[in-house]
Amino acid sequence: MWSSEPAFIGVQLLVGIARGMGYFFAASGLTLAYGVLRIINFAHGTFFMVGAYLAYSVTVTFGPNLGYWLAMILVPIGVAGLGIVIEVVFIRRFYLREHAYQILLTFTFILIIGELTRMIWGADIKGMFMPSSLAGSVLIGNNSFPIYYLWMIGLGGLVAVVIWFLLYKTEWGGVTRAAAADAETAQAMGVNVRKVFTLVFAFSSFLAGLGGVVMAPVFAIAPGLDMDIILLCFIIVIVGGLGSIAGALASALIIGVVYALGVLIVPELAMAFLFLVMIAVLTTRPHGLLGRKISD
Amino acid sequence: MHTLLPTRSHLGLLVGVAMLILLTTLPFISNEMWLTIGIRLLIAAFFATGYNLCFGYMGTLSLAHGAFFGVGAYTVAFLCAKTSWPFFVVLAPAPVAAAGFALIVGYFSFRLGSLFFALLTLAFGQLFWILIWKAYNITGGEYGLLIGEYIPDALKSSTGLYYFVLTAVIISIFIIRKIVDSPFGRTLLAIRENEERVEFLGVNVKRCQLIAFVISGFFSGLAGALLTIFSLAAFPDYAHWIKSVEPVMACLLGGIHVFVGPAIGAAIMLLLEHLVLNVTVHWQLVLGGIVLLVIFFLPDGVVGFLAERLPVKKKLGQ
Repeated sequence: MWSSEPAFIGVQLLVGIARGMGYFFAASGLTLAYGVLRIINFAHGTFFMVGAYLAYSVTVTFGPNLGYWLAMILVPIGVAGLGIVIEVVFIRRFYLREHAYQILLTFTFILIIGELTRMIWGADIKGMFMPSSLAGSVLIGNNSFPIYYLWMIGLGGLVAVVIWFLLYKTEWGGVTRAAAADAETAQAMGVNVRKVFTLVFAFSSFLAGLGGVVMAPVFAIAPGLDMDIILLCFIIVIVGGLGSIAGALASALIIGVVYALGVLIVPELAMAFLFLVMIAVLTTRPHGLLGRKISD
Repeated sequence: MHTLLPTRSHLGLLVGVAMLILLTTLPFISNEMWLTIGIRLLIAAFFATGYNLCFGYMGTLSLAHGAFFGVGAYTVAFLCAKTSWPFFVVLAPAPVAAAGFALIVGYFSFRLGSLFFALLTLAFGQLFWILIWKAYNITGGEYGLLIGEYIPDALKSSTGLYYFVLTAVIISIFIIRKIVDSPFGRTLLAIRENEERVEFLGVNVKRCQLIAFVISGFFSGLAGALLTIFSLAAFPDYAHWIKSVEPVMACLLGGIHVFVGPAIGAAIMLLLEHLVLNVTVHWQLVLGGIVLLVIFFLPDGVVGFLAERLPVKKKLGQ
């Protein structure tokens, strides 16, 4: 419960920021894919879950130390590969169809991939060990704080900078932004829009996979994780503004902190607090904190 | 010759009468197992028909109807278990509560476009499901809320329950048909075809959509209540997001542009599930595969597919 010690609340705030960074990995991919492809991937949480399960298997095979770093490199690439297959085989054919069918298409991947993960890894909860270099905790005031959370905050910040750099400082980013602003004109100017869409979807899946690896040691990996994550992603992109990376970062941190503080007040209803935030944003700023008005 | 072929309405009438005879005599011609399947089939068909008011007629994909179904289920279960009200009084608040929840969800979810609508309805639906899990003291959590001892004996026999469900479903579907054929139903169709133009005609589109959403939620709640009476318990599964996907599948499979499409889709789904579960427990995998096939190859559903190819005269204006 509420401690009179401000350091305790400060630590809880840090916990919230760390969790928020974890959510940012997932939400940034979703919002990026929407910004360019205009499709919301309902299976984005499923990609995250696949990343977490793969990370679990890699660490079981290679041990928590080597395994963790191997997973960090290999798993996001693997999930990006999955994304490429799904974009090329299925999603590509649906860009011009009604929203309902696009949603249903990505929804089927929740059903199919979700059931496949259950067949491969079973229905019981998997716990993943963290590498010894990131285990343990530091003292902040009189409260101990897990080193792993500091690592999550640092890595989250790094990923945010990398996304910003890729989008605004590279030619690839310029082409991507052009395709996002007006795909037809970009195509006419000689941009291979098809390829851009595939690459963006792959990058989006990469971020989901990375999020899965990073969050795996602090999450219970079990069926249903996919829906927990996609729900958080939806709340985050609505609060932050769909299509805005900066909005996703800001709102992921807000949501992480609200959740961490909500758990202190009424643990059972922490989730309901997030909905209150979302409803407040919907009524005052329907297009999110940093979102632009969307016509469709 | 074309003149000798039956018209589509003749064919429809014939099939309808045959269905009605089959439905009313089912308890006499089938065994216990098929009667239970019949009850589940009626509920699923009704759930899908009510859902299609939103999906097929208005063109709005909602992912909160599983939660409305769950609200109906848990309202009945809660009132049975915690009050001493007579049974048939307990039934009435269930669809009303579901409609109330639909009003809240719809009020916030219709603010943005159709993409956001799907996303917001899924989020609100999941919130209800999470609350069911967490409110262990009220709902019994994962073990569900058992109400076997409060159900009147007449509804515990399969035959009694079958006729009760059949009556409720036929009356409800009749009402839905009336709504679809009313000027309001036509307005919904117009909104689906061109929202902007309808707005220019002076119709309050958002309000129409909200009303249809609430009506649809009302019937989902009733369907949930019926399933709770059938299974003598309400479980969190009744409010799960997969429950929202079931009517979508039924609508797509049967065809969203024909009134009976969703009911037929629901029947196909349920029979398929029955068959598949005999072979494998991975129903979800099969379900995903079916949807994938349908949205790729059968965009008008089975009924729409057949209607295009049957050698019947089309009525003018259809």
